[in-house]
Amino acid sequence: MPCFRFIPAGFLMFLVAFPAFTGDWPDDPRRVAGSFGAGRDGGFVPGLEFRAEGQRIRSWNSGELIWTSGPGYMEGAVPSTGLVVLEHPDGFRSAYRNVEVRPDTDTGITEGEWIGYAGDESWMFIVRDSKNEKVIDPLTLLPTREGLSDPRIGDVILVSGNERLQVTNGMEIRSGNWSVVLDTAYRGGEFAIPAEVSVFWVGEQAGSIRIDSLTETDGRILADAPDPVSYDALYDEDGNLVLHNILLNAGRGILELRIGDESGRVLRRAWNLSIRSN
Amino acid sequence: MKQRGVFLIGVILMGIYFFLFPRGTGRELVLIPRSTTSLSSYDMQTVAASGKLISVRSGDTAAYFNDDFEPAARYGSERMAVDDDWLAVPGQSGLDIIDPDGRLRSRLNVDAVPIASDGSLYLYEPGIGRLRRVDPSNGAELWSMDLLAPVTVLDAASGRTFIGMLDGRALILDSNGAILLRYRPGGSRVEAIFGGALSDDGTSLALLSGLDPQRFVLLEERKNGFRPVSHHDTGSDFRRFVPVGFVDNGDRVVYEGLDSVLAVDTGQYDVSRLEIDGRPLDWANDEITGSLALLGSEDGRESLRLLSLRDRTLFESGLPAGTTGLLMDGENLMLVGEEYFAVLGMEVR
Repeated sequence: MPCFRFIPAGFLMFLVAFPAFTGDWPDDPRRVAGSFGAGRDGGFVPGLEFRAEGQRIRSWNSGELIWTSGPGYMEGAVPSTGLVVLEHPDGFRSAYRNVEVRPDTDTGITEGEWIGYAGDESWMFIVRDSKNEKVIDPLTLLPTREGLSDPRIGDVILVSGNERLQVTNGMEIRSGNWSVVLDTAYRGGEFAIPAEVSVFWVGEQAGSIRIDSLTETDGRILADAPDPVSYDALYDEDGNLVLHNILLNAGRGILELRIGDESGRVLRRAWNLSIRSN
Repeated sequence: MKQRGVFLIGVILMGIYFFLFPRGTGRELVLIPRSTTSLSSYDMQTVAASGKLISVRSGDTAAYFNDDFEPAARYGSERMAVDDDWLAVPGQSGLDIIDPDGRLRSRLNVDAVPIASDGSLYLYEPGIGRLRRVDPSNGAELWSMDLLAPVTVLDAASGRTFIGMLDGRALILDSNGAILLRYRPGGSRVEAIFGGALSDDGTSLALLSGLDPQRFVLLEERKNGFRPVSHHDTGSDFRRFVPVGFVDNGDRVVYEGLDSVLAVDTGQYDVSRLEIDGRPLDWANDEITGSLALLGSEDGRESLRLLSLRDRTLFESGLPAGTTGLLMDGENLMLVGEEYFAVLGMEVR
């Protein structure tokens, strides 16, 4: 049975980090189809994905148009599926990818002004903090959505070497370092998107992931989760979220998984485990 | 209907020859219409091809022609990369690299935008920022890198790759993917790379960067790496891709200016303005004669201007509507249109 409670600290963190720069949703929040930092094709998704239904896309905040590119072929240009980029105060840039650009868009853009139509299948909203050279989770800058559906946890798998065990109540496993694999958290198609995933063993936090931003180092993109980690350290080959090196020492205890969404609600699931010595 | 259009284009080109080039007393450049081919699939009659082929790209159409400018093959796709020796097109499970005659070289299971430059194939996945260089002969990955900022420009020469990004960074990578240059032009209120090109030997880089002001920067490779050797404000305010290219065997860089093409001498760094009607669409350079052809567009009307090595106008004319590109190979000037491909022979008489 899911159990919800508020974590005001996480909520306050957003407000402290970006106090005055919230802007407005560039599309209907109910069209959100994929989360920032999700794993896809071996890489991180750098923005918030929305279902494309031919709708108008609006500017997240007032700013200056600095780039447009359309889908047509042009010698020397990198082919685009439609990209609009706006420069905002305080070093923020917002990008709207897979968008059919409004042809008469002016240079000065006001908040909420429509800048194009959603392209095929989906479009992506990306926010870059140029001062800190990070791409940040747009949810940290957008007003909290209302009517969020509940966070959801699918299968939870414990992995050690070639051993893969679905976590069930009362199961018995050997002690040691295990990886916890979640097959639905951070996957697309969900209106409620986990903002934080934590694993607790006998009451102590054994691992936690919260992807707030992405950085680039030497041609590789790392997720601040909160320490910089590579894609391979967060996702398995199937794109499932993985918490590595969860030490389960011998004894009986509760393995607890907590998944929080952006509004601060937390879904908690727990299993009684029996850990035997090797 | 389209055949009639091609016939009309042929008549226009014949008109250029007979009425605009009366026989003079001295030596003069004469353009002789050699062929006009419709690029429409149902009009295009292909022939068996052998030897070197010329690839032509117009919008979603790619066509190959043999030495006699007879059509050898035609392909259509919004997402493809076209080279004289191969092309990458969407396949059953991602992307197919094929020979111009359609023979499969390799099949890549990837959802990426293919880019062809200087015989190299690049695969760009903008959704996750991944850029890969791939050997077009077998599909093997040569190097890969992940970039957070959108890639706006990519150019390759002598095994090197230039990448320009919207966050204002310019990178040059060697053939193994090692970074030879990391550079930010700076000097502008808004940082971004809007255009750029590598010289044929890969030792010079021209950049069009920033807003307020928009700037041109030329870098040359010295003993201690690439160094900026010339820069100036362009007076432009483009917020889109801006074409830049080296011409005259690297002696000049040309780029799009406001209603003109600007040429920068890479020896003296002088800037000259090459007038063209409307917005420059394309240019082509014959490196043997040094002549430069400029294609401009104003209010939907395209025009051609052919310049000598010393920028004297050799020829000016309106062109059939829908002309999108130019090619030159020494003896021939080729016009690429949305619906046609025409070849004009250049002879000095």
